[in-house]
Amino acid sequence: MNNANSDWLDPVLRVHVLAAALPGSVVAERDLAAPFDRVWRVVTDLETMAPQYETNVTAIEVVERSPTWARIVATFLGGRLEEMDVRIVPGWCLMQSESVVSAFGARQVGTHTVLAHLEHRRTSASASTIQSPHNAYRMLIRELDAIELLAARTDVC
Amino acid sequence: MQGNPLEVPGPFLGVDPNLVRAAQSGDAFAVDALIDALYPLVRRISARIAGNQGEDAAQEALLAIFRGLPALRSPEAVINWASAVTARTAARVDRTERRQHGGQSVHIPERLSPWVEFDALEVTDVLARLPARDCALLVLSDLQGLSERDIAATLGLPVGTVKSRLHRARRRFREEWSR
Repeated sequence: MNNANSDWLDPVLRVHVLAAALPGSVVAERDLAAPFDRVWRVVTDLETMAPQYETNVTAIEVVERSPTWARIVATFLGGRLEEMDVRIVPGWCLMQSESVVSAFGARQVGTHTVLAHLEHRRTSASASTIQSPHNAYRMLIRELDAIELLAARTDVC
Repeated sequence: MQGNPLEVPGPFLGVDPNLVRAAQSGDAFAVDALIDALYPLVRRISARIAGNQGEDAAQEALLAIFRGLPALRSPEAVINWASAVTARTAARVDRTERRQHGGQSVHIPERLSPWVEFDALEVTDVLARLPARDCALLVLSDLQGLSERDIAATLGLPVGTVKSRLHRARRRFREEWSR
């Protein structure tokens, strides 16, 4: 999580700064009615939860993992496979493949969690999945809603 | 709220130009690492200039820096450039705050600044009008309180070059001040 006196940038703000550096990024931010720990457990459970909240992803296999880094193989809708590198620290999750960047930044606010989500298409290789900014934003909102529902489930503990 | 704005930080390590180039090309991990490298500097400069508005100024400065990153022609100069962008952004945030709420909110530590005879607010206005390199040197030296040796390490320059450029930057500051 964030510390106001820290020299580590707040993860929610970090999402917006990342978007500033990656033109064409889409960012959505929501106040989720769920505690930080549960939200973060859902976001970072890459193999089980991520395919449930990521609209374009049907499966994820973690092929390598350390406490703060992972390498995954994501299966996208239509069957396309992509290797992605992942950085995970509390409140900050950054994923990147050759064609896609995805990021989550979370901040605890009382019993709620502010969660920001970024998606960015890096290359024309992902042209088939390019959407209008409005549709892309709606997709991110749906994903944040899905995370909120998953975090409220009693089997996420 | 930021930490003690009078605390003099250690030298900021230089930033690898290859990291800047990778960030410019859209590598998100490079952007992430560059945020980590620049944020402490941006935060401290913002706190010096914008006081209580330092956190807001730091956020605005970071957004301006990373929006403008693709146009940076000399990745080796990223510290200079980011310092100047931050100083200008913080001066603007501070001016806006004073217009809206009045009062004094510029924080130039007297023990560090040779400009104590000047009005602190006008100092930031003049700084914002200087070329990026001069602005960055004066911010690192006289607002951040770094030694010439630390500035040299931060910017990857010989100490002698820092001395001569600082001398010129102070002269330009005084010329700009007297206009």
